[in-house]
Amino acid sequence: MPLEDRAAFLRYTQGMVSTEVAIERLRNPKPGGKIWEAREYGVDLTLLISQLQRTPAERLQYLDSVMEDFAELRGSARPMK
Amino acid sequence: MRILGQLLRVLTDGGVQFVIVGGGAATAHGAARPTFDLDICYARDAENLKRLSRTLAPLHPKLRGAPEGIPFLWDAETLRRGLNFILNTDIGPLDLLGEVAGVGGYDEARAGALVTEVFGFPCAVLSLPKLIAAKRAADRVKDREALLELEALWEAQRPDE
Repeated sequence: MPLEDRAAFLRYTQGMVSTEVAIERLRNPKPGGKIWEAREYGVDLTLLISQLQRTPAERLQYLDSVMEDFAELRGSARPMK
Repeated sequence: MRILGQLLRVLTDGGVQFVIVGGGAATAHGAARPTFDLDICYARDAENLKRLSRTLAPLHPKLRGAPEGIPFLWDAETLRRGLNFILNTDIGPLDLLGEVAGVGGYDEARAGALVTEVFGFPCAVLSLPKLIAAKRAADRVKDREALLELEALWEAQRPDE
């Protein structure tokens, strides 16, 4: 990754808490908060925890495989020429 | 590297200026809901429109969902005259957004974006707070449900209040 992109990544992630803290917040939501609200609605917070245990790049790579599987199911996947 | 990776590779290799938005951005930030297309916000300066036109032409972009026979000329002038293009390409579905509701154009989307290396090259991803603003502005049923996930992710990851 070029230096300026690495710097941008660091600037972005330095504005966030650690993954461990984020996962702890998802496991123990504050009553009345957004995490709490999502759980009450039916959002599966365990899936969010699983996602946060991956890097952003790994999440996109996983999505890539899901998209491909879906396209194959629809019979619309075509190899790139 | 499959649909998403190939589309990102083609756009990056073509020198197109873009930011990943929509479901791809949501996934990058930790959302678990899948998406089946790639949404990007692209820069609308003349040079980038030429690059976008030239880069995607070999993938035979067509308007997704349009009736067969509707004439569609893929070139920089078409891009200049339009704004948002919902496309099918030889690789897979690709949505080109000149503007993102609640955010603005490319410059606003790029400011504060998460830049991360994926598939071996750097990609810019709309920041989580701006993605939340976009979903709020779009306010479709599917956006309201996605918003619950994104707001939970933001509450989980934001700096201590």
